[in-house]
Formats: sequence, structure tokens, C-alpha cells
Amino acid sequence: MAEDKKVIFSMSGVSKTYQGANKQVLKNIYLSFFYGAKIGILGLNGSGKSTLLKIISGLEKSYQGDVVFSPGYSVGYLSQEPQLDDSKTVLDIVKEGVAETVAILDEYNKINDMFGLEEVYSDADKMDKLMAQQAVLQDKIDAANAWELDTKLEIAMDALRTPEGDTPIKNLSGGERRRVALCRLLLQEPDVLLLDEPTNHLDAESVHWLEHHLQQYKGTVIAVTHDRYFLDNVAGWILELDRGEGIPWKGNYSSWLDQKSKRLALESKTASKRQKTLERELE
Amino acid sequence: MAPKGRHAKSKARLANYDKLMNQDQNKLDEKLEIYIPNGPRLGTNVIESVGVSKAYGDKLLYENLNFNLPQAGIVGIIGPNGAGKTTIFRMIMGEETPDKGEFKVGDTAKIAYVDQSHSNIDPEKTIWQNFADEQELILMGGKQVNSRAYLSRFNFSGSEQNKKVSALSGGERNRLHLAMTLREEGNVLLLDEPTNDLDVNTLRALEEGLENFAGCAVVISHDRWFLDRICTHILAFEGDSQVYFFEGSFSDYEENKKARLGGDLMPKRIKYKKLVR
Repeated sequence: MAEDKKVIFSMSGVSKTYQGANKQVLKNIYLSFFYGAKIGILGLNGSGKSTLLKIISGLEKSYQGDVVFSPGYSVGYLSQEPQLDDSKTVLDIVKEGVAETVAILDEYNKINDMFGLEEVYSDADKMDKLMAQQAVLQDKIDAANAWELDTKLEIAMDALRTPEGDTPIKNLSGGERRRVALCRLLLQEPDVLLLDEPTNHLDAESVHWLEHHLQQYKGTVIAVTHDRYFLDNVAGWILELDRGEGIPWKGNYSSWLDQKSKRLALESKTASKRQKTLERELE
Repeated sequence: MAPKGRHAKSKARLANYDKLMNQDQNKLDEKLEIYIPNGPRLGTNVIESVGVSKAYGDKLLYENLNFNLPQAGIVGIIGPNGAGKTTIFRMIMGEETPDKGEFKVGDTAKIAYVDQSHSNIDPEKTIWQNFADEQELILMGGKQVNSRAYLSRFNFSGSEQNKKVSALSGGERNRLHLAMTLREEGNVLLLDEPTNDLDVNTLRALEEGLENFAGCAVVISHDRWFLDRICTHILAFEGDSQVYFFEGSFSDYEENKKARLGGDLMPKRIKYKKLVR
């Protein structure tokens, strides 16, 4: 693959067989993924697309071969039907995306409360120690611009058009759950973002917004989708899964179609129906 | 895709019902991965919505809805969930009634529609049994077609075709509905979200089948590529009980909407709001 890029993780010899059905969905896959690449995965139903995402995310542990990550990188995953805690509210879930910041703010507030305790304010040593601790936290908060956390969350929720923050999760529709889970995930800003059918059940404006956001996303994005506009507008690579093999192509959906119909033409001199339909889609 | 070319294509389609109707069906079946048999000849009165209003409780879905489906039209229905898209199909089929107004269905219209409550689907029978009535060869468009081969185009492998309908996932069920609707030989097809559960190869094949189908198709879909490739018209649920009937592709419609409603009217919904500031 390309030259000037950093590889963020590699799969070597990855295979997956479903024992019950005795069906091999992934066959000996060797692929390296670049930091910042935007990759769309194509394939038939049951071709192992979701399985591949789950293996990369670490959720699927039983497979052969190795997935090796560069140290220190984080991975985030949006499933087709995200499981959210029904006892929480929308804001609770979204806040989990910024859990680190929330923890620092909580710590800061706790120290503030302690200044009011007699045993603390009558003891100069204790006071000095706490003030020093608070100063460190304050620097962290300033650096992360965490004082404005509430505003930040509000903007993110507005952009993804989630329901109001105090809405209980148990009242949400499937589409609303996906929106809330996506909001949490995007706030986490993982280095590798794995998305299973991200545009399903999103309205047109949200899809436009998501396309724009992902185009500018710093990290690697890997999306399983049938949404050909999304593949055309966002993907810089297409990874086709065909009978267990992973075939990478550098380019968006239109360029993939073009090369695919040419490749099929080379493979068989008599043009197949499939090749004709590929050509006609580009007309 | 070249939008100009598409535009000319859908214009040509609207003007050429007879040409579509007279295409050699054997050649079509050879050329296409998903062949959709034409129904009987369709007159110019297809389905007309005349002043239709419908509400659920205190939620008004639409008021004074008017549109007239063209003979060779492919109409994409778009809009958010819960706006009443499927309700239009149910009212056309007489499964629900409008609060005001009516749907006038032309004498020659033969509507093909399969939904969850379809009485012809026996949950205790397999996909293939339901689809083909246990016949290896079925008649489609006056020709004999291998029923298992046809089903396989909807991504049902041989063994999957023997699954009982009661055990199907939502996606599998939708694909079965699609296959059953297409084989009914209607001249008006009502398709409810056929695109959600299809891979790009099958989507492409369905698009070509519809392009060559002589008749009218009404399709509820979110797939922008699909809509752009085949639609002659868009019926858009735009919120606040407003429904807009537009002649042109999905991209044309989006431009029209921008020009009509303007960016200023929806500053809150402006497209590229940042996730963080």
C-alpha cells in the first residue's frame, strides 16, 4: 500500500470458521491499515463483514491468525443494534464519551468541598497539599477546556439530533439509540472507528452531517455499508470481501465499479450479466 | 453517475410506456439478473390521491394530499420514520381509510403489494414453498422460470430457501416480500423499504429490473443512489404535515428543496454543524 503513511494495525493470516454451520467466512486475510484511512467494506450478506469488524474491535476472540495493533491506539465500535443501559438517560450515555474529563471535574469538586471541612482548614499542611492537588487538576481542566463541558455536549447532541438529555433510554426508538451511541462514540474520538451500517435509520440531513464529519476525522474509519453515496463521498479505500478473501482497492465506489467491470472483462471473454450490470451503473 | 444523463433517461421513460411494454421479454430475462414481469397493460389512470387527510390521534400526518401517479413513473417516497409513508400504501390497499378525500385507483391498475400481514404467507412453510407454491418451474411474464434460481437472486442460497418463514430475520423476511411482490405480475408495484437489506450487487440488479419494467412503481427508500438512479418522481414528507410531489430525481429534488425552503429557514438544521467547538 502507500508509502508515507503509518500502519496502525495489521491482520496476518486471519481466518474465521463458524463451527456449527461449518462455514469459513474469512480465509487467511493479510491486510495492513493506515492511520487516517477511510475504508468502506463491501460484500454479500453473510460474507463476514460484521465478523471482520468484530475481530478488529476485539469483541470476537475466537479466530485463527493475528491482529496486531501499534501500541497506545484506541478502538471504538458502533454495532447495528447498540446495547445501551435502559436505566440511564440520554445525557448519561453521551457523558460516557467524555468519561475522563468528567472524572477530573468530579475530583476538582470533591477537593473544593473538602476546603469547607474544619479538620482541613484548621490544618495548614493539609490545606497546602490540597491546594497543590487542585492546581494540577485546574491545569488539566484548562488544557482540555473542560469548564465548557456542558456546552460541548450540547453542541454534539444537537449536531446528531439526539433526543433531549433527560429522556430515559428505555423510551428511545432503534434509530434514536443509534444516534445516541454514535454521539458517545464520536466524542471518544478513538484512533480506529468501526461502524456497522452507520447510515441505516438516519435521516438525510444526519447522513450529510456524518459524511462531512468522517471525511475530516483524524483517525482510521472502517465502515460496513450498502450506502453507495456514502462509499463514494467518504471512502478512500474499498475492501471487498468475496468468498472469504479480502480484496483492497484504493479509490471510492465509482472507481471501484470501473475497475471491477474491467477485471471481470479480463477474467472471462464472454461478458457476464454481472459485468454488464456494473458497466451500466456507471452510464 | 452523470446527473444530466439520468435526467434525460427518466424523461424518456415517462414518455415511452409503449416502448417499455413492447420490449422482448425473453431478451430482457437474458440480460437482467432480476427480471420483473410486466403485468397487464396499464391505462393512463393509475392511482390518484384526491385531497387526502389522515391523522393518528392528535398527530396530523398530512392534509389535502394530492398527486397523480404516471403510467411509467417510478416514485420514490422519502421522509422520516413515523411520517406516514407506509400508511399511504395501506390506504391505497384499503387496509386503512383516509379521514378526508380518497385514492382513486384506475380500472386497469393491478397492484402488487406484500406486507407483514399478507395472508398468502404461511409462517410454517419454507421460503421456497411460500414463494413458488412448491413448483420448481413457475410462470413469469408468460415464460417458465426456475423458481429456485430466481429466489437465489435475492441472496437466498439453496439451503436458506428451505428455512421456515417463522424463523426468518427481519432482513430475510423483507427480501422474501420483495421477491413475492415482483413475481405477482402487477402493473403497479408498491415496495416498502426494499433497499435496506440488500447488498450492492442485488441493489444494482433491482435497479435494472425496475428500469426495464413496464408499469408504475412506488418505492419507500432511504437509499440516495437507488433513488437517483431510477426515480422519475419524488414524494417527500418534509415535516409539519407537509408532503411535496416533485418530478425529477432525488438530487434534483434536494436542489429544489434548498431553493424553495432556503438555507435561512432552517438555520438550526444547517448541514455541517461541528461535533465539538
